[in-house]
Amino acid sequence: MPAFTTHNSSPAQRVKDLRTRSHRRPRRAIAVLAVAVLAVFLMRVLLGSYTVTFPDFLTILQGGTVEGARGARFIVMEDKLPRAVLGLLVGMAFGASGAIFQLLLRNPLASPDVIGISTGASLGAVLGIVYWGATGFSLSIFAVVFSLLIAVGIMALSSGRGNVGHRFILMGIGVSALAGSIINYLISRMNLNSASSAALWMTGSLSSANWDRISILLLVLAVIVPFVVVLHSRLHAIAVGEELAHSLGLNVAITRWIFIVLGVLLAAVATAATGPIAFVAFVSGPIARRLIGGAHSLTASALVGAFIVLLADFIASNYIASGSMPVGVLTGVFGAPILIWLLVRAQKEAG
Amino acid sequence: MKTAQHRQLTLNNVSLGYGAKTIVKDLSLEIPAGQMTAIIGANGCGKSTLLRGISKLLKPENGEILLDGKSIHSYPSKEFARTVGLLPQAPIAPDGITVADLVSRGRFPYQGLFKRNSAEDDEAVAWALQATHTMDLAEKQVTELSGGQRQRVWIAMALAQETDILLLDEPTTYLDLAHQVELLDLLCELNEERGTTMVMVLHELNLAARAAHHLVAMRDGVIESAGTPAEVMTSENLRSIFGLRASVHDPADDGSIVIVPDAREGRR
Repeated sequence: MPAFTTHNSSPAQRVKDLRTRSHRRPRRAIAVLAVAVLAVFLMRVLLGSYTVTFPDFLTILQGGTVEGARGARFIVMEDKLPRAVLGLLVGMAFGASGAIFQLLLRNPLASPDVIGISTGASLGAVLGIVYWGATGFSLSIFAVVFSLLIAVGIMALSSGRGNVGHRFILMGIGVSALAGSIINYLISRMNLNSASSAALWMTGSLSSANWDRISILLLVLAVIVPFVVVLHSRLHAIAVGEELAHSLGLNVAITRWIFIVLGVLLAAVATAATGPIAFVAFVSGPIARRLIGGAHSLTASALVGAFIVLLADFIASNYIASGSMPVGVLTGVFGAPILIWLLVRAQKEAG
Repeated sequence: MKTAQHRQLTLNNVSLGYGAKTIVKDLSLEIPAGQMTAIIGANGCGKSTLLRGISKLLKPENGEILLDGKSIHSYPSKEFARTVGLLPQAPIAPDGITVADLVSRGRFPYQGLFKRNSAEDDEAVAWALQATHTMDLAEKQVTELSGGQRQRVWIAMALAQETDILLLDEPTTYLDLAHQVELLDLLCELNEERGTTMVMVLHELNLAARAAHHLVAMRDGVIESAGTPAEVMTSENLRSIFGLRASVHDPADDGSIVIVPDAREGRR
């Protein structure tokens, strides 16, 4: 080994500095994203068709009433704030879930809304609504159980040697189509009333936000998120390929299973709360990667997801001429072109 | 630099395969500790499968693989990863990763759920970067590198793992001749300086003879011949194992042999 040179710093110090430096851009991007999410959250709560000043908002939060605008308390606490909080939570859940699948299956197309996880949750929810009159917590259970079943089914169909990620996505698209047609069948058999409410739910909307729904979602996230935080370095460790990860001492099969379950749960509980908000899980990861300089980051994706949902809901409920529009319609309109752009870019990179 | 321990790797009557298809058949082999072993053989003879078996990627159908007398499957996975490293044929660089970060991934078996990147890890990564002459590339994105540079970075990652035994599956694939020689020389250097036992699958016979102390020639899942390059690389063996008509020369008369395939008929 060559003797360590003594000028300036040792090689080990250099390695440490380089690591700090390479983490600087992601950290900065995440800080900026967090501020942006906070800003759009406040915008959603304070601005729009009913405006509240920041001091009034603080008064309301502390339980007070605003003189001269007694209705303000109701509008903020029962409509605007729960909507924003729910948007924040599901946006983060969708964003993180998409990033987990994209990193795990090493493919930008691998997002819960493309590979059938969200459709599975929708199928569960629609079945729950139609046959058992499920609402709130029981609706979440239906969505979670069905999306897990769908995920296990896709895993079973795509197991074997070779490129598992690729097969998982193809199987997922097939299963998604199947679940979609079952949903359509169910809707065609419903009476008009429940059909229209199911259809509204399927577009993805924050209009049903209330504190009950938020507390259920918070409770489930409080269980899932610690696992994601503690284990996420293992998810990143798989990214060097299965064989190498294995030889680094990682149990690849178990890690992959754990993260499929965590990704499914995140997408499923979010879908149960608001319906599948189109393309949020799908676009958050790639946008986050652009912002932090190429690497995958679950935190950045979660923040991008929250930003998209909050901004889209703000626009959809305030600036669409025909009145309030479900947020999923707007994310769908903007998400589809991004999907096409990603496909074109992936093709260019491959070619 | 942490010097490598001499660990005894022994295969007793090992059969390996996928499902019903057995590829390596009843193979027994002693890997010489502290030396460079090259496994050679035609495509599909079971070279890579053998390496997968030794690295615990594939469980033997029969027989046992022992590390210091204990079955490799009885070692906890991280402890095993600190002893035996594998550089697969086609490792994947994660998206948007720098060289320094990629090489640091080699420290995974030394890190716990919460404890990450200690001073010891930095020392090991710095040494690996220096030993492979990639310190100057440390800040670059892996995707910006040339094929030869990239391969050296992967070796650096395997070195940062500080294992006593390193398995390399065709480390020179996709490299031009000059870079193949450079890479194998680097591996020889590391073997001499650090004492790492190396087992590599190689296709290029002349380079295998040049780099390895010990050659293992396989055909159809069994060992046809094993020993020093001069012992294994005979015209008869080349013909029976590879179906290659060639003559073997020793130009410097020091055991450093050169294989010259016979000229095409009618070309003389």
